[in-house]
Amino acid sequence: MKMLSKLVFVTAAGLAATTFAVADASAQFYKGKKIELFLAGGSKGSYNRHSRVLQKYLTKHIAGNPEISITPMPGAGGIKAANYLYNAATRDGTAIGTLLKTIAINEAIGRRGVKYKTEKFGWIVSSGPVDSVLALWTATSPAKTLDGVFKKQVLLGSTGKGSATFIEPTIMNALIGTKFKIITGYKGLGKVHLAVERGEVQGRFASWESLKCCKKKWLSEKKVVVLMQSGLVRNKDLPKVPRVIEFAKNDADREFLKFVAAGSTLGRIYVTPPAIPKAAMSALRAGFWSALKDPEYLATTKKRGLEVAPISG
Amino acid sequence: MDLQMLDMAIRALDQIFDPERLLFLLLGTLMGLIVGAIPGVGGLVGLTLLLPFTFGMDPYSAIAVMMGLLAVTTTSDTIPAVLFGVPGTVGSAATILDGYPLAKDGQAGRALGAGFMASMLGGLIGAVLLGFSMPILRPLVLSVGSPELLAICVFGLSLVAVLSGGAVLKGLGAACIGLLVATAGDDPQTSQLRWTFGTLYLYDGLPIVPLSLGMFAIPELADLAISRTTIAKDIARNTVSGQWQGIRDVFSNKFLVVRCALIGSGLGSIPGIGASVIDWVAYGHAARTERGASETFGSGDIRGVIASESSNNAKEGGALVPTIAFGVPGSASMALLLSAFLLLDIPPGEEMLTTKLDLSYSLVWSVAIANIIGAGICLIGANQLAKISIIRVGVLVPIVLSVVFVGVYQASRAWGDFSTMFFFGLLGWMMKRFGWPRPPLVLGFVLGGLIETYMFISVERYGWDWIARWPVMIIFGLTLVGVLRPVIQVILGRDEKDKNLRRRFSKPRLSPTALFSIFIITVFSSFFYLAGEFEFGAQLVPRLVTGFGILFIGAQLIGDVFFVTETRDGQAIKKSQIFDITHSFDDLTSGEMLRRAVIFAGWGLSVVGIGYVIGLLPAVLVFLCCYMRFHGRESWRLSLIIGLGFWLLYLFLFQLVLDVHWPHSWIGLQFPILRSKFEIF
Repeated sequence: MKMLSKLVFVTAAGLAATTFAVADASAQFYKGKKIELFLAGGSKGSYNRHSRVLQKYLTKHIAGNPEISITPMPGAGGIKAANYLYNAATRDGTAIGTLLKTIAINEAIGRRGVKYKTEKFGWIVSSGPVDSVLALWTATSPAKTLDGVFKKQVLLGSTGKGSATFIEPTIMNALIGTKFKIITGYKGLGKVHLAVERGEVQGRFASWESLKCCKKKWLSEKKVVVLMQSGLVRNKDLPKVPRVIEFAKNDADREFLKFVAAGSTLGRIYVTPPAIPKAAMSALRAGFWSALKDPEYLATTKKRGLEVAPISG
Repeated sequence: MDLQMLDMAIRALDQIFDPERLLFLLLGTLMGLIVGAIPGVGGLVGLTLLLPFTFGMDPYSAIAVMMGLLAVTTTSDTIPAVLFGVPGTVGSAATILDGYPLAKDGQAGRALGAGFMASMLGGLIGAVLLGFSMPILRPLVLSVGSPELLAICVFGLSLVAVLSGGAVLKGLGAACIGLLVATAGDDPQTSQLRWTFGTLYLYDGLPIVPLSLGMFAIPELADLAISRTTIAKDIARNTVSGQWQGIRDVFSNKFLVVRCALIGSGLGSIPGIGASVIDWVAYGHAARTERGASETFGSGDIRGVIASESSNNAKEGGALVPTIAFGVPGSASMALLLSAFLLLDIPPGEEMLTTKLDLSYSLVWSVAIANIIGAGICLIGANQLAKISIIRVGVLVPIVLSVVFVGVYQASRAWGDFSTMFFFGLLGWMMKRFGWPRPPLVLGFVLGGLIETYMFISVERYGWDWIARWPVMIIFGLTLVGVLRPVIQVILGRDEKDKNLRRRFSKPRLSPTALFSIFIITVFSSFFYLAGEFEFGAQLVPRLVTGFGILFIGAQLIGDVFFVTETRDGQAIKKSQIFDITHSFDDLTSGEMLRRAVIFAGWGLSVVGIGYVIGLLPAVLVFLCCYMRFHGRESWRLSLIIGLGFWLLYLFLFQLVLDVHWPHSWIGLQFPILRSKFEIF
């Protein structure tokens, strides 16, 4: 019956919003309330994974111990959730969201359907970077070194022309002189990886975490070489892998590449709709910050290969 | 299967048979049966609900409860399909073609018995197949590249010809509609937005659930409401013996079950080809190979039910193939399962076939056992269920329609889901009236997107060399044989029944059918024109599809307007045999029929209209009670009791258990306190 009692416990834990004596306004704010967390990434992706793990620690650490419910709102490359949060969600502090790293780029390039201003969102925290890396399959790729990718054509798999898996390598071809041929249309990174293993494409420029968590053997058996990374700063796992910006040919290019790289480094951001009560914002910021530092949470994420390196709001 | 594998398989069985885990399996199975029977709510929604609870469990228990749920949604989805002609999940759309006519004929028990038994056997075959192919899974999946996937999808699409029955041109036209609809949204090749009309809803293309409910559920409910009779006239044969008859039917068609199960698990293993296509492919296969099928399929042939049901349960075994072997989800619910795996520290991929092989086998056992339990429960309840078909229409229609309304919103949780359902509901109803086969539209919709994607990947990656790959050539060869065979038969000598027919030129006349064809041609032409705005890569497929659509429907139109088909002795032929349910309103004038149809549409639209003002769930309550009272002319007492009873059930299931995020209503925006206190406004 151990499992059954565990099930009951999990259910009870979700419902429990126990009371602690608290003094100031921000501490009182979420007492007895429920926060709805909207996910731009849908119920299948890494955003869901991260948020689900974080969920119970948020209840524990946000003053007033609010219940957290997670509502996936995938669609339109993250624009649907961003629009909803900006225009329709309640502004009383009980609706928050986690948006994709491309929201600023989408606004900047004037993508159709964007109805928000990135800088007007209330920024709670970034839980960690969403760094992309260039990983090539050693058995099939004509280029196996950094030098090679500037000389030989390499086939990269991509999910679509609106995604980072296409945009970033295309920018690299234009500005730093790589010679990627990008095959688009794979439905999800999993299918890109399958195409890599099958030899249909020879590599991909995509999430580092997806290799770290789910393709450990590729790394340990050296089936792939990791040659470049996307962030403003080098990922702490990859101190020796150069950043794309390091290959910029002039200052103007470098500035542009920095803008793109910032999306990776800010990464997994948690935001609120514009203009929520001050007390709510400070409770959220403090709560998220200490939840992301919770030792038990850090142990869990480390075990699962999830990247955590918070940047405050 | 070597000894080590056998050892792992037995060890996994031992783990699953732990009483606690069996309890979880049973729990999952029960939940699966419930969500499967509710139209619009399938395994995906059920799994979303389960996910948070599995985090604390050990992997075997979590697998048991999740697979239990996934394995049987396609068992219980037979219930609404047979009883109301409303598919419970997208996987049972083909079941209604013969299951519903059987129910109308008073043979609901037989159809249900056959459906459940076929489901169980199909599920078991799928599981066994998966179990035995474990050692070769990785090479198997790796050998199938984008060109092969493309060829398989083209083969699937070629079945449109079979599924169109005697109305090939209309069927091809319907397939073109489906293909055109599939091009809506963000095009991955060019990143252009096609036909989104400024909405975000259409950004990712249309969701299949509202499309499928619109195509198949709404027309059936509309006709039921229009004819104002119970589904079955009598229940004389709705006895236990009917159910046994159904089970016997399954065993006397055991080779059909095996073939359709193979189709189900084979196609299930291909990511992207989901339940919504598999049942039609199996149905098409049966219609092509079974003796006398072209005469009886679509009008209550038990083999149609068996084909559809055995294939959609076998699919889960297939969908596990890429999931286990590579961590690439074979279906949307598999994607969710995969994310649960990651949270449970179950690493999909190579380890699942080596060090964690026992976990893989526990998946297989869970599927197998859940299928037996699920079908068992359904068979026990089938007789009681069959009695639903004699409930008065005034009570039944609002109940089923309200379930559909709440269910369809679960697709993408947007008002757009209702528009999609209404649009395809109207289209589906007209297609049904004018003798257009509906299955080709669904096939075109699902396979169209895949064909476009795989075509671009294949050409971009391999140039035109992809055609020369031998698996591609074999599959294309089979496709060609399938398509050409009927043509050759026509050339070599017509079927017996056609010998007596002749076509002759006649005075031009404009029937409603012809007007409908003209309407579709106009739509095709406008989209052909509009596609010109896109860059070449994005306009290619829409232009090809609309171009061919105009040709097919144009030819049909010319035939309808200028020619009549009659027997040699001058008797007019009413309509050609198609594989679809037909509904005749012999005792109704067409004016009266139209009047009732408009009233029905008004009731449906009013739910959304009122929902906009006071919230979807409150609007459903108003609808339930008012429809029963004013349209069904039931007493106030009965209307309120039944209406409130069902409404509380929805409130419990969707609000309290599923924690659905409801659309904002006008009243909720005016009085935010209502929204934050009760959440349903």
